[in-house]
Amino acid sequence: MSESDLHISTQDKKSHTTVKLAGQIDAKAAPNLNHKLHELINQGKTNLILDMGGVDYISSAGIGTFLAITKAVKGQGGQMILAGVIDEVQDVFDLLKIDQVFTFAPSVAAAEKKL
Amino acid sequence: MSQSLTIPKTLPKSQEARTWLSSMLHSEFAEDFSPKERNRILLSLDEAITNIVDHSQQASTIEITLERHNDSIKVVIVDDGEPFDPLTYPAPAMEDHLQGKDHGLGIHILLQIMEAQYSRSDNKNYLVLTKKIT
Repeated sequence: MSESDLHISTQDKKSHTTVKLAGQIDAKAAPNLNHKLHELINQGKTNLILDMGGVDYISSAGIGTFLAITKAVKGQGGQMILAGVIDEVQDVFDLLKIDQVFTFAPSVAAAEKKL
Repeated sequence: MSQSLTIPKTLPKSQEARTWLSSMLHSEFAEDFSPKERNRILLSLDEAITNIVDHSQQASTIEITLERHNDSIKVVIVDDGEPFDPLTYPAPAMEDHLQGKDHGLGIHILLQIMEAQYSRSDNKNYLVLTKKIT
């Protein structure tokens, strides 16, 4: 495993699915993440909490994936919440001034209360 | 100080370049830039390299040179692909983001962080990126 690998694990709850991410969301990892999240949406899982606490790097490829997934879940009446984003990663959203496109929560527990 | 790395135009090698750049920024510029600024510089360089890997049809290699000057960091990225001037690429609009589109996001990040100059010479693209030490 290289340091750029991204680990993805999912946990289904009654009202939503939590997707735990750990690693780096770069141009290599983003297509696989995009594929897995679309698989969930295709299964009708459109309320997604992305546990970002373990993500220490994101590039535009990762942001692009989140833009596409946000649009897809909203189109089906769901929502995507980014939970526990660390400062270094939050800075990328702030830099692009697109933080208002996304819903953030400080933790998975806080995200669950938003659903 | 001047250090160079040449990689073949592949995604795995662009990750290796990021690791190298991260190490260089940490070792050579730790006192010049805050951790946040170093992260931003690393991101911008990753975006510049990834853009060549993703979109250049003809490039075979990418050469990255990192120079330390008294008041700035200078990074020169050279590829042997078809002409492409990122400075002329339009910035994405918010409406595009809301539609789930991400075209031009990487270049937008790059130009938000670094001063950029583009030139074409000897059938190569030269992208010179600088950031002043504040």
